[in-house]
Amino acid sequence: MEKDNKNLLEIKDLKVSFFTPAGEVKAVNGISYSLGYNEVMGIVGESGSGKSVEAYSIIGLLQSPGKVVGGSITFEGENVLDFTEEQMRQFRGNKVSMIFQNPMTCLNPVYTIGNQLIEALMCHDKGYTREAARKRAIEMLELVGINNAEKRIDQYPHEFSGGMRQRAMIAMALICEPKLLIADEPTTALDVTIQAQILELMKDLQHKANTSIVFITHNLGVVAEICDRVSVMYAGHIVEQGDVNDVFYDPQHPYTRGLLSSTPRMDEVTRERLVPIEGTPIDLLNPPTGCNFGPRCKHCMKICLREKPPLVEVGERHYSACWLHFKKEDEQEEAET
Amino acid sequence: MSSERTPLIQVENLRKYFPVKGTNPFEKKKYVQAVESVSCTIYRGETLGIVGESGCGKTTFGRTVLRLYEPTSGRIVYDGVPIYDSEKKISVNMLPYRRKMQIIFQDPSASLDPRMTVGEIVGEALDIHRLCRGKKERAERINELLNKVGLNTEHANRFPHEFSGGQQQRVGIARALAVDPEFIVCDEPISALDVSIQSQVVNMLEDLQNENHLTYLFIAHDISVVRHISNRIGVMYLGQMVELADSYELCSQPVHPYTKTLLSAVPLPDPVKSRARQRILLEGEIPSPLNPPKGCRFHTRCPYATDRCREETPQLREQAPGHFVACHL
Amino acid sequence: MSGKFAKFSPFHVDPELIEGTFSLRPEDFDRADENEKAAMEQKRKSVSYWRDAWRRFRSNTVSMVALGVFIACLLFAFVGPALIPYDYADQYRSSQKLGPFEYSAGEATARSIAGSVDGFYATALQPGSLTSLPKGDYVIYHGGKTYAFTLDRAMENAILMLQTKAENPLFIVSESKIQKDGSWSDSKAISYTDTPADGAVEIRLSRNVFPHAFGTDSFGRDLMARTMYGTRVSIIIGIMAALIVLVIGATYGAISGLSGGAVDFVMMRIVELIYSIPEVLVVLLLQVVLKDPLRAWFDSSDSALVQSLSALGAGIISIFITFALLYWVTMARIVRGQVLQLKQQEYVTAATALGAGNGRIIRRHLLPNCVGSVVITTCLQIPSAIFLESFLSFLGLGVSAPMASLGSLCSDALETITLYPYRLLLPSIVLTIVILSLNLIGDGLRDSLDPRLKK
Repeated sequence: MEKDNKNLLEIKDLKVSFFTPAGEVKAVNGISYSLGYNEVMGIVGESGSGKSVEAYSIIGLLQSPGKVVGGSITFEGENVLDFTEEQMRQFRGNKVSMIFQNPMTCLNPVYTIGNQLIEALMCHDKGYTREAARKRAIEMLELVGINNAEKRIDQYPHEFSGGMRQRAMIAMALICEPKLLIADEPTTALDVTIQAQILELMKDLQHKANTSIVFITHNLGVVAEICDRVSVMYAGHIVEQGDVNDVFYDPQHPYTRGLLSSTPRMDEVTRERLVPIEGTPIDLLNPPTGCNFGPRCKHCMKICLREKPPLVEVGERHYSACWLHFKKEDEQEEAET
Repeated sequence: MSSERTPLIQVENLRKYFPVKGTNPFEKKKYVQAVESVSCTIYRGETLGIVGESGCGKTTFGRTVLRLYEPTSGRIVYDGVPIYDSEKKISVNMLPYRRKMQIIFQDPSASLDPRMTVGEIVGEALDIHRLCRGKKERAERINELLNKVGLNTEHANRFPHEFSGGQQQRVGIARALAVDPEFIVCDEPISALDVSIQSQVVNMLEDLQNENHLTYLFIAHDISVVRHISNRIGVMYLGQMVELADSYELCSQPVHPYTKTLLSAVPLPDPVKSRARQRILLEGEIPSPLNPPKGCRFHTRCPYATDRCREETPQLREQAPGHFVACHL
Repeated sequence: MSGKFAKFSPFHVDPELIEGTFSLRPEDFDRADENEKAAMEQKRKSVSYWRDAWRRFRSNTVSMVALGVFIACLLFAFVGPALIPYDYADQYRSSQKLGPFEYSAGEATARSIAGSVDGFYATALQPGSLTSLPKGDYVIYHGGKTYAFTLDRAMENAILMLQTKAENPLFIVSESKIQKDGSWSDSKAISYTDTPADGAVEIRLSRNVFPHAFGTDSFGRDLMARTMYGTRVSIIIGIMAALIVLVIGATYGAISGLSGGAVDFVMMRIVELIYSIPEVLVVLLLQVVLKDPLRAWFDSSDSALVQSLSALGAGIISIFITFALLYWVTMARIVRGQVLQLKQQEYVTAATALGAGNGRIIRRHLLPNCVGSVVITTCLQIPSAIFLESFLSFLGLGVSAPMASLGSLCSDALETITLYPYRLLLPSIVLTIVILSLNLIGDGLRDSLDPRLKK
């Protein structure tokens, strides 16, 4: 896969907090990653990891009491956080678009699908006439696998089934040919067979349209299937980041290892007991000092409870944030057994 | 799996239809055919997994076996005693059976009364069946149950909303265990939990099964988990059981076309393998259970459908020892 | 990563730089033991539903102010009368038609004397007047002593005084003999004994005349006392009416919601019928119809209950009966809605799966979860009850004399509205404050008890 030197999207030390009546919740506490052109980055994490929050802040959809409190988001060289309202409007839908877990959140039930597609197109590209836009909309619907597009374009969202709504939402997101698509758990609510269809569709479209995707999910299988690079998030930090093969076959962070060993696999031959990650997710209102994962980690050391580990390079373009990497060689091997 | 298999529950031709609330009293009544003529046997001590997608009726099936929904027709036999038979008009009082058959729900925050403390929730089971004499014994038993599921005794005075999802689910499990049941229907018990917690709960369920000699009916949509925890798996599609076999056998040698599709669609956390694999992709959408297709309900999407499939509904037949398939091919 | 990490690029970190910044020691890489890990576990305080609701209520400024105001009104209505020396029904004939903080001539004189006399001076604080007393036996208890005396002639335009240090402590001074500077001449001594006669009327001493803060009406009744009393009556009627609505409405709604099906259908159609009946007309009709039979009943029976009911009067009883017949429908609808929704909750299914019967489900699961809405509706029912009662009393159809409510006070004030506008203004303001504060409290309760807003 070709990667330009210049990155499409660069996130540097992004911090997002929610200022609730109970206190400040540091949903995202300093994450960085870069996404090249035509690349799919998977953001894996559980609830409370902050993965959705950082996606919303890229596209500027963060709602109060959430606020970006630090860091930068650079898209093709421009700092997204400095955009004015007008610039943001040009940006959204056109350069970056988003698809959600629940398609009904972005499909307006009182307008036909066609209406919404056409509106999205004409809003961003003044060159289209209504007829041309309608033709293009029908093309998009066919592209995403909705049969009988000529007829279905005039139907309302409630007349579509779940999988088809998801496809319609993808059509709406891609109609302006954005460079970046943010997908927030797009297949989590779908049945397994429909999920497979949608994933195939997304892979297909991504290659055809050269779109980069930020794919947010908690399902490791989905990540393995569609992503080129992976960032694993836990409690507002990125704990491991790298190529998908590196992260799956050579995980370095105890949390990633824990996730992989605690998921039952279809290809296991003998029935082995799962190795769970002990403990419960932390309360972001009162995060611990030191590594957020410390209290649950079976390798937890005294330093882990005191200081947060930095993200260090453990392989080519493979990073992990863990104090274990600083341990002396022989001790480290002991720890890994 | 124990070598001697005694059946604990036998289900024959179980049907559950839900009437659609019609506005027009003159129109013919419409029904959602949630469960259609499902028959199976659940052996003592095993875990029978049920998988399927939305609309397949697996949750309805689980609850109907417990008679939380009254069956429309069919026969349920528990430990040799028929507890429901629509033909012979048998319908026993379920109160004593509520001690033997229990259920764990999918959404722990919805299945725990937000106004009751955890201790009261678990204690309710003891109170209904009068299992404890005196407050001291009751308190001890509650503590014992909480410890069994990995919670502290001090948690008994707290409210459900103060716990995380995983802990709430443990409370639900403790409640189900309080009556000392033989059979537990696990209705998607881990779907609502975080991935890192799911394995904790799965291990706990396995341990409890071994300690207390429980029989599970494990309903879930995540086939990987079901394969891991179940001895046998039944696959349901649109209210019917289409295949039933030993878990590993079903996953490695599926016979029914739908099972094959389902298995090929499961995501695998292995980049090389998942990209190399051939996917079987189905056309179309799942038909509505209000108006299911005639004949084999899968024929509208089956790549091998014949005329016979369109007319005649296939029955669940034993095609290999212990391996049942409902297909004409 | 900020602070210590600021100088590091996000991806490449020099281990030596790290060691320097954090001053890492080999011991740091020892395993952390369980205690250290457990210390990192945060424990949040256990918060029950009510405490959480109270916390939310407390943070709502408007509601807290309204609560404070309502408590002030309660104090005004229930504690106030003990603090002022006037009673709502006492008529002080020489103090008629006074404005707020205005004093009658006699009172002004008494005030000026009180300032200058060393000792105490007695005012006649009985119905009658400050400066006149009818003939009869009286007794004064003061400073541990008893002064019992008899007036064989009515005392007119004179003030009865007690000067403890004087030789003849008890005497009468005619008003005309009192000089502007407070001195007087020509006092007439009264002889007294230790033992009061049977039926002696007690005279209370006061050093000063308590101001009529709201003025007095045409009969010389202190308006502040009457307003306090009226507020008390209005609030009690409001609360009792709301309780009637609560009991009848909640029961009806719960039964309807639980039964479902045909029973629910029929019960709700009845509710809709009742909803369409105009309540005020019913109250009026009831009053007219019940007046005579009630009077006959009151006169015929001697029991305490009947006596207290008769004190209420036909007007108020009609109001209560109307509430019992008509006003509970809103509560019934709300409770039914709640029950219908709660029936679907999974914890009710879970209770059924445990083997719980209907009774247990109602008692332990449905009712406790309804409490929020019920409390809110009841709280909001009180101001509408007060309003209805005020409205009716204003029309003359509510409380009957000698009882007074805020509405009847306003009504009494109407005829002299141009001369003495304060008589209408003050009770109206109090009524407005009571109703407004209750409504705001109800709103605040709704915000704080609504589970959907829970974080």
